[in-house]
Amino acid sequence: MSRAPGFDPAPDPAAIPLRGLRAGAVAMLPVAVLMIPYGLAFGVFAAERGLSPLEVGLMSALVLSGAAQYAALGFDLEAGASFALAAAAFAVGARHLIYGAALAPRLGARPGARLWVLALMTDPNFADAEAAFRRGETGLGRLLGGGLALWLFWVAGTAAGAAFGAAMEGLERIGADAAMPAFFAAALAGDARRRGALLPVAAGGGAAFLLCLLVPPGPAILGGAVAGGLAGAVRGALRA
Amino acid sequence: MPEIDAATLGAILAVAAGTAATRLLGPFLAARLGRFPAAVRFFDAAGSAALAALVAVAVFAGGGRAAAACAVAALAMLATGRTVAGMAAGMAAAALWTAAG
Repeated sequence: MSRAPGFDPAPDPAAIPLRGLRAGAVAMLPVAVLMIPYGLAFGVFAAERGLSPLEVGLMSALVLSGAAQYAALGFDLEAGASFALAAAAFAVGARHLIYGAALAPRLGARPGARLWVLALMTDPNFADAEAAFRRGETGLGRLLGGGLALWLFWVAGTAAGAAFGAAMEGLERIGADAAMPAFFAAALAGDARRRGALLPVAAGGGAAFLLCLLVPPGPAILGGAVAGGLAGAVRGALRA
Repeated sequence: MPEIDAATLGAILAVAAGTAATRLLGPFLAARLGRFPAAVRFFDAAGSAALAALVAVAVFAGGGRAAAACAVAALAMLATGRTVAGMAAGMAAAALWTAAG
């Protein structure tokens, strides 16, 4: 949409400032670089499960979530789409619901800007933008810029892992294969400090571990998330 | 063999749809779900539980080495306050485990 020359429009509060876009990308660059081993590890793991580099890159581009993609590899992907697969991705991403709800008052009314900002929202850039909001900056551009940087490195890193992982000797020797579980454990430790998080964490972890004896890893993750969610909801109902 | 298998593509789209729903529905839920505190508690707890389930499944598959990596990663995160530092420490623990074994 073009504007008449010389016409100076009033600033639109929902417009995404380009300055914030660059600041967000710069802020997320070190995180994106440090996540390269994590991306490579996912690519190698996915290739072992029979995915081509193109499939891995496409999955990363469309999903942008190491946790959801890792959980998906616990299913038989060659069996095609299934409700359980989408439900597991939804359960693993449930924290995004909370982030999105927190962002709601700041998102503005433009559906297009809203869509892109939310589509590229992940843990690190949400945390970064949230901190920027608390400092009084407008964080939407920051959130989007950070998301773009993380997306680029994620797609490139995972596809490279799938394409060249088999040729990269000694990934296990530097512990790269442990990058994903270690990241989940670190994120879990941060999360478990929250008030009331211990019960769902214990219920979810315990249920998933026991389910591993009976079902493939993907359904076990879904079952653990649902068990922990129910534990949290039931405790809340008992206290109310 | 085709680069993209049709069934795998369907599976990828299902994962993408499940994840996109979590990203896009948050603002909608903020407006509508305030009246259903049990649902809010369920999603909040399910988010924490899913992380725990991911760790549990990885430890189940990876045994002592994965358990050591996860424990060191969690402790390093608590000590430094940075998730990425936790990840790096966990990788180092796994590397040491391999070197020692």
